[in-house]
Amino acid sequence: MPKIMTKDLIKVYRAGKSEVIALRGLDMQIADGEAVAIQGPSGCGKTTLLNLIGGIDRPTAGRIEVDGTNIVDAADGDLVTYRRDKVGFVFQFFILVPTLTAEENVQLPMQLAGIARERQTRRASELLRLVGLQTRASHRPDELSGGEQQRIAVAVALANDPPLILADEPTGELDTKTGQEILELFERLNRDLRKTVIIVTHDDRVARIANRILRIEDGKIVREIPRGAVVAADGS
Amino acid sequence: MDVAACKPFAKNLYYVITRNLTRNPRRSANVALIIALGLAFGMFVYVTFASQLTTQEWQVRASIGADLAAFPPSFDEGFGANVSALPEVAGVTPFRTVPVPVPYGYAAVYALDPPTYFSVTQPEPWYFRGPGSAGAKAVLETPGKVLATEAYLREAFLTVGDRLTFRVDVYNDTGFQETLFVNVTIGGTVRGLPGTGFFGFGLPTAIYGSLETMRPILDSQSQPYYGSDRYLVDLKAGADWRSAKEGILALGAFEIQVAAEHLEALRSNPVFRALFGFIEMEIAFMVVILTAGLGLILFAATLERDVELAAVRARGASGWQTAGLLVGEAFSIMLIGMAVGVGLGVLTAFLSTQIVASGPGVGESLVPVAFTVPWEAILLVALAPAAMLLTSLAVALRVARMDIARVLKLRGG
Repeated sequence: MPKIMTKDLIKVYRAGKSEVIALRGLDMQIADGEAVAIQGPSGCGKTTLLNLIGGIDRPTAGRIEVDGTNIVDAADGDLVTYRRDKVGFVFQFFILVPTLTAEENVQLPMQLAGIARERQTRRASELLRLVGLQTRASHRPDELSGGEQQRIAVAVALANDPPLILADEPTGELDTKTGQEILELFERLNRDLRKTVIIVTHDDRVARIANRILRIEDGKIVREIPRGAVVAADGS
Repeated sequence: MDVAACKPFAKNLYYVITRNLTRNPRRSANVALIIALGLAFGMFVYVTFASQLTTQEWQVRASIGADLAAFPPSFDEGFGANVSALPEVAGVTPFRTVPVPVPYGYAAVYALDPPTYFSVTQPEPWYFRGPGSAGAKAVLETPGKVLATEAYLREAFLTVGDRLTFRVDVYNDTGFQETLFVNVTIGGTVRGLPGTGFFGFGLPTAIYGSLETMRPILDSQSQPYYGSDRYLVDLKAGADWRSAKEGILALGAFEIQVAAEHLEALRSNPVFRALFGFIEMEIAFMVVILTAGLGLILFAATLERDVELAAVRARGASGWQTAGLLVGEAFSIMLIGMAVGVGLGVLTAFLSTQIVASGPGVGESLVPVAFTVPWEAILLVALAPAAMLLTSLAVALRVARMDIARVLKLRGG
């Protein structure tokens, strides 16, 4: 059974009398433990799809099944729990709480889940080691570089050990070398921790870590490129 | 203080608030400063104004002596009893001016009935030094002993325990009859006592004795001097002074002084009323600042933090958890502002009353400058957190119901 399945997914944004159709009956399946890249031109519906899968927005019509449960019908409170326990978000602009240290930022989702303090400290320490920033635990975001902040954001996303990681342009604000390091981090999450990873990106290097690339245009998946084809096309 | 204050709202996320307040104090300091200045101004105005009103009330009561002072008609021995019988009256005490010269200087001499005098006038503690009201009463209840004011003792170079001899020439219908000598001992000292008509700058020079001690002098008079005999009247709580006044006038009193009427006249002064209206406007303005103004500031602050808050929600915070963070933070800031503002307001009000009371060129007065914290000020302090909570709740509701996806500007799709 696929981890995530969308069926006839439609999302219409309304602003006054005007309507923008972001998704036009999108169908998609992602298996457990897959790493999928979603690509397409600006305004094609990539981020909308990510938001809907992540439970921070609701579709106009259609189904989104995660582990066999249709989250479209979920109550607000259930969506909060879903976001907290099942999903880890990584944003383009990192968006960490500026007054909290790296360690405290990592602890925040665990605090929201009501996890005991000792366990939070232990887990935060493990995650900071995983992203290679154990020595920067007491630093605040403004004392860290962009790459370091994004690695902290990845650790934050992993805090409650969610099976699904959603990343929206995670390398968009980073230089080439740092972007590469972040992509390698996502590859490790997928390969070593068996996380299902969905990355929305314009960065073609993501193809190297993705099992598949879904190409979206005008709110629909127009092409699906499997890993073998990706690697062959890339030549590496 | 912050941690304890925000815990009921933020619960286990309180540490996020304390980190915000301690690591980014500038943001919260702006709001706290506005609250502090608003409350400081409000407290200063309320306390100084209430202190002025209390001082004015003390002055009027020091002059009149009780709720009401009635001058009886001549030769009416039953006047006091008749006043007592009125339904508005709680107590009556006779208070007589004794027409006798005082040795070693000038002082007015008064005769009173100690038990009823103290229950009717209920003198404030600042009339006394040392043993206080009970000590003064005990002196007056001792036959042959009198109380002298500090000003008289200073002027006459006397001290407690010294003896005074009053000398009165007694006349009858045919002329001089004899010279009467009445010896008394100064049994204690007071700054003054209520009902002597004195309340201005300086201290009164007076001697007070019981009716019993002064009886030989009073009995030597064929009739009291015009206006020397009066009754101080204590009205029942909530009694209408106007009907009491009418009732006493109907008993034949030729003059009545009413403390409430004096205060009413003073406070109906156009300048006073204009000042009072201005103060009310200021307070209303301050309430608007504390609610609508702070609401706008908080709103602006949350707009600035929208993306951060939306990210926290995307990472698993519920709308109420996020709202709790904001309300808790606003409440903590309000408490800091309130502590500083109330402290500053009360302190400056206290200093200003002290300067008025003992500033350059101001001598000692019988009636001190009061320092009163009125119930309106306490109400303001109690309402400030409530107003702030309501305002922050309204702002927090917007965050609780925010469109996370829109705020995060995930417009790549």
